[in-house]
Amino acid sequence: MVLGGIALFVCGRITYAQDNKPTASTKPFDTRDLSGTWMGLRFGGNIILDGQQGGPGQKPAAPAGPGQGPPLPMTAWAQAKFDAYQKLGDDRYKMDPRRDCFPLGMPRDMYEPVPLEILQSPDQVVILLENDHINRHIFLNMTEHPKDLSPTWMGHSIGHWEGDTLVVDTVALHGETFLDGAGHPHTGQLHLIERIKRVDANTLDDTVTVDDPGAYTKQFSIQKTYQLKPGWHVMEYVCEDEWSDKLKKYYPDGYFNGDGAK
Amino acid sequence: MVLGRWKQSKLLGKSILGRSKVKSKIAVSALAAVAALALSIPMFAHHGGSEFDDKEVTTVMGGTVTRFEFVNPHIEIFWETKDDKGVVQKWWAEGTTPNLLYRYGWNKDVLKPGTQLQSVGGNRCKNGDNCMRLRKIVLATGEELPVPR
Repeated sequence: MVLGGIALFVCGRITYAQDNKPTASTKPFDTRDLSGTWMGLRFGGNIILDGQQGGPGQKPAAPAGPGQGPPLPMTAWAQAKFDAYQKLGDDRYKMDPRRDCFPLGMPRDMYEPVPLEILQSPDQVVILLENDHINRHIFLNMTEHPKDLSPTWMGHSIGHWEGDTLVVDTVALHGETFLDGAGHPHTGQLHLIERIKRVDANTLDDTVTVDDPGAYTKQFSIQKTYQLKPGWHVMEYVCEDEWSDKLKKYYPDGYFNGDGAK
Repeated sequence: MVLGRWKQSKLLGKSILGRSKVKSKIAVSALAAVAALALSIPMFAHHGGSEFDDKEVTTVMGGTVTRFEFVNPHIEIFWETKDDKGVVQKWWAEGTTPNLLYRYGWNKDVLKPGTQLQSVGGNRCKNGDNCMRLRKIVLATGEELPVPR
């Protein structure tokens, strides 16, 4: 029953000028300069299984959310935990550490729809994540992780250059986070081998190989492409705002209008 | 107008809705007619976005903004349309974080209550309610507010 109006449904996908398709830049750049503010092309990352990309061009690209992405090679423990999480349906968010504004861990915190900013010094590469002020320190002056590290939300990262690629090794992640937005679990054994490469002047590639024998029977990778955003810096983003209308009082007019960092 | 600098024709170029052909009409479906009676639309402080149909885009023509929330984690736009018989439909759209939109020129004042709309397009709520995940928004002036993905 139509109430005197016109039903207008647009089928198919509309593409907008804002699709952010990258075009390879021919500008000269320093391949070992990762600094700048970078924005992911889309939410989530692209799963790569057995060398075959499971994501790009297919929809959805990757596990930005539940029910998305190809099935991962999980152990029985991980499969049970994953299935139990999916069964919660709309109540999933109650089990998500994000619900309490905890850090999202690695590699998930690299996949949020807000930018990251990379600062470099001789000793470290620092990745500032706009998502709730998380920062990652990738120490370049260490060849081994310290012994007896306590597990943390974001782990401990050390890196070294292999040609034009920054190879980052991350351990000491406790198991309270998910790998991604879909709810894929991991254990404290999680070990990430990450390769960060500036592909051209405007493009950064981050590919993380997941090594977690407690949760996954085979290694697999998650890849994400970022685009340089000249003039941008990470802004304030306070997760706790998300959970309470009362907290909006902290904004002068009840709205967030940027903190000047753009 | 604060957004006068946006390139209207370029951004509207790919829309299948030519400005000249469109008058203020209301997009109504059988399901929406029923759902429109509900004044309060269930909202989750944060959710995975899985409740939106991401295969198709629904476009609602016309309307007036009644409320606009420019806060994290998602902006929220509330607007009303009125059909030929004067029946009011209430709509709600969720967008991305204001942090991102701010960089594309949005601010808290771009959709003040009373702002006239030409069209709003998005991924409709799977349950058929008058709600969507925002994909495109055009003001009655013809200016389009960029919606980055």
